[in-house]
Amino acid sequence: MAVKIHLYGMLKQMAGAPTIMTEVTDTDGLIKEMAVRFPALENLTCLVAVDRLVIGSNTPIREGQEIALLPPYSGG
Amino acid sequence: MNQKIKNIFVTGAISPAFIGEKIAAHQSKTAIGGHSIFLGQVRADSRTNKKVVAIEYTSYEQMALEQMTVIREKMIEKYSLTCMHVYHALGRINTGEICLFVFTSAPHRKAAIDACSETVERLKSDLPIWGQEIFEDDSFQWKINQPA
Repeated sequence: MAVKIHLYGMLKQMAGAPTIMTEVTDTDGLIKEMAVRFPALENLTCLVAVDRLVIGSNTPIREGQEIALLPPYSGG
Repeated sequence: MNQKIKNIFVTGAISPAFIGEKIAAHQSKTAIGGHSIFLGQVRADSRTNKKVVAIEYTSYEQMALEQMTVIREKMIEKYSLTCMHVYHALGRINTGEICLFVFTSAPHRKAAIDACSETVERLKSDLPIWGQEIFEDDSFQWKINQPA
């Protein structure tokens, strides 16, 4: 299943686009795929949000969900 | 989630006049005995001999607003606040300008102060907001939040 991934912060800048498409079925697969696409992520702890909630363990990705990859926050 | 989602984002720096207006708007709420305010200001840090002149803030806005609604509900309940307001700047904020305004109000000072402090820590750790430090020569690096 082709999944649209929303990117933010430095990830958006690295990709040169706010979203990318990838073929993954769960969030662990997404993290592995992103590590291949963005080797610079090796030293960063990124979070995955499914429908705007950060997930704490591997989660299946279903059609229609809003998936985002979030680099470390630095607001405030 | 019972509370309405409130927008916390403002484009550009938060002006002292805006902060003053928000304080003045509370004069009619006479159950309040204490306010606590935190103002985040963009600091002119130096990194490898280059000086920060601004921070460009971006956010995953809908998620940030939903997370802030959760934090607001918890803070109001935990500290029995009369009210609380949070504003975060987006876009380019120059050094010396205000990027964050947290305003908590309660019948007594301790609740207002503790709630303000906890809200600042929680929003820094939980809200998907990113700052890009811009240097004098227009180069940049992504900001990393430091512990309090």
